[in-house]
Amino acid sequence: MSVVLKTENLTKSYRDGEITVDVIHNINLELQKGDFVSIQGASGAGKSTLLSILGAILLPDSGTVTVNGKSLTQYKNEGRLHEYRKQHIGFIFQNHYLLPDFTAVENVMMSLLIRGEKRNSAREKSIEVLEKVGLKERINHYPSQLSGGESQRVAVARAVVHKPDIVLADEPTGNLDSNNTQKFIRILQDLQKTNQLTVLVVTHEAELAAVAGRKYFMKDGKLLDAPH
Amino acid sequence: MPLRNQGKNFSPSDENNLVHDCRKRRLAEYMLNFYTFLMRRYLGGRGNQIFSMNAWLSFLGVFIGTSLLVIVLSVFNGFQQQIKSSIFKFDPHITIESTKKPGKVEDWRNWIIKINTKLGNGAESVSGMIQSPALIRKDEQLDHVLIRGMEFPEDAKVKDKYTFPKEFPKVVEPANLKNFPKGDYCLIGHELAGILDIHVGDLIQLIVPKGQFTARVGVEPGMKTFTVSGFFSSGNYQYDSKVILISLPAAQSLYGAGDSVQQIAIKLKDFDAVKKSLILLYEVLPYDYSIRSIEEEHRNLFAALKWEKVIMTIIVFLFIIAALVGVIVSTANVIRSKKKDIGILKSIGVSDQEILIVFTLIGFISGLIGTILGVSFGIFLSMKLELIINGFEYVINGVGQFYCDNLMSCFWSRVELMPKDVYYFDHMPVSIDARFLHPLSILAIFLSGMAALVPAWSAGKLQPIDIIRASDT
Ligand SMILES: Nc1ncnc2c1ncn2[C@@H]1O[C@H](COP(=O)(O)OP(=O)(O)OP(=O)(O)O)[C@@H](O)[C@H]1O
Ligand SMILES: [Mg+2]
Repeated sequence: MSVVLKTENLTKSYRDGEITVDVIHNINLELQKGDFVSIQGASGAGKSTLLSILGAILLPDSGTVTVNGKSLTQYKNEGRLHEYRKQHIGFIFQNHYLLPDFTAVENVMMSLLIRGEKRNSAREKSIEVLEKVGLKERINHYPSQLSGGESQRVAVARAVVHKPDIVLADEPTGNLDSNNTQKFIRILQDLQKTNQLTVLVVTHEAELAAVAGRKYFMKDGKLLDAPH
Repeated sequence: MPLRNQGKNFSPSDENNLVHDCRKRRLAEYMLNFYTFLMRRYLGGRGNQIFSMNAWLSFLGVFIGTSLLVIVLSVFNGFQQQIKSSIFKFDPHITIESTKKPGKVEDWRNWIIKINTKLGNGAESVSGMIQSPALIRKDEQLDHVLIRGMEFPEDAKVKDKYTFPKEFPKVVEPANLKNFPKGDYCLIGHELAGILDIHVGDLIQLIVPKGQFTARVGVEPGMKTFTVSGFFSSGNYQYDSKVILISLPAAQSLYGAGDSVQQIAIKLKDFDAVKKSLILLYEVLPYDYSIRSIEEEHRNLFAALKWEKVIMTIIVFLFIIAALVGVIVSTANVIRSKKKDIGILKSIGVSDQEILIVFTLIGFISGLIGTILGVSFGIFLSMKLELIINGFEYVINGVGQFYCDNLMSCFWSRVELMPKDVYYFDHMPVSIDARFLHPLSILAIFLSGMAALVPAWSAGKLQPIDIIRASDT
């Protein structure tokens, strides 16, 4: 087993007038290849903040994030934070965040095109993944023509189609009904297994957290092992 | 022995080149795939639209700006050229008069020889001229005109006839007139012919002040009857409605001037050589001769032409600025409406520069298409401008006439959009100058890219976290 992601003493705080609030406090986390990890926690615990840092759309105050041996700070110093995202990350948000001007398959393709894939092969691969998430009939629909559950499955396809080192998901089922949640969980689990994906998912949903191999809780910016 | 070394040596530098080549090709592919993918949609919107709303705005701004620019420039340019060429064709470039005996140069034949040798090849023609105001009488009508007695070359083929010099206004009636008889014959401007209802072959009387002014009788009037041989058209309304051309001997006899002329008229081959020629002339002519250039003669006009150039430049800049504001506003609009997309794209790995390039190219492309089509349309309209103005005139008068006749019972007086006597010319002078258009088009395209760069820059700086968080709630 190889270490894909490692954080050391990760800290992030926000100043609110006079008071400084530690949102992330000394977090040490290690993900191995093929890990499926969940983080649960109350609202405001700092889960999204942690995920944003791991996805390099937010920078920590101190501490390090290392992916496959190269640190986030290195990327930042080279002025190539986008390269970090491009090379390592697949993001799934609570709102699907699909590009409204592009069809389902084009949204998935975008993930490959920005990584230099040719248009035809990008299209083939995207259709393949969309079939896996059960959207064979919907590939040419625009996001506005898709249901919430369908949109979220397109978002999953977009996050995994380029086979990233880590898939980060922030409350991916937060906007779904129970039926769609079930479907989503099965799909994510399936993709994770067959592709040996490393997945870190933040969720309120006990059902989703349950399928993870390793479970954490977050409280006041600290990461705790889940009680058994 | 490794396989790949058989038959062909494969050096490390080859390999380097190959890698380099490959990278270049990949970059080009990437550009094509990713950029065109994004831009096509952002420029075009969904479905079958050619342009999205904002792209239309940007395109239209540049389109209208550049086409108006072409029209304005072509008209300005046409006016200037027309004014210059009508004057240069008609008037001598340099005139010489005596200051000792005003209006009288007696030894003019000698001077012409001297001037010709001095100017050498530079002179198109050096000749004697008499130019003076006069009255014209046709039947019961009187009008004031300007008589110009000038030297016409003799017709080598037909005896006792003059032909026309090289630089001469167009003879419009009779259409193919090659010569006209010596003696009391004249050519008149075609507008004057219209005003006084004169036809070719008609007789007119010219009344002039004759000889020297004396205290006893003042000026004795001289009167002579001339036959109209034809009408000329210089393109300049002032000349075409006022000037009568006669031969120098006829003028000398009409004015009782003996063998003297009023001035020596010089036409140069190259108008730009006026200053140089003036210096040469100062060397041969004594002080009691005044030498005047065409620019001095038409000082106000030339000053006005210069001002026109300044105003033209200002207008050009205003048009360009207006078009650029259109590009900036519409690109900023596109960016504002795509703010969320930009955040998403960045969060999945698109760089700041790539966002910058995409949105700059969007402005640039609408500017490019707008400029190309705008300039073409402007050229098209410029060529049809007279037709368009006539069309407007027709519609306005048609509506006015209808309104008066049928609704109000009033009298409709025709509207003329380009009255000849105000606008100098009998037609809309339009001259499309490619020397202007090329740099201007390139400038417009370049600047629309630069204009798009301004909002695109801010798009590149957008932070995905802000956008994602903002739309989270
Ligand atoms: N830009 C900011 N400025 C100040 N405080 C912030 C900022 N962003 C987040 N916070 C605060 O940090 C804390 C953690 O926020 P975060 O979004 O990580 O919580 P969360 O665990 O994801 O909550 P939820 O389950 O509601 O999504 C919150 O108290 C929030 O108010
Ligand atoms: Mg959150």
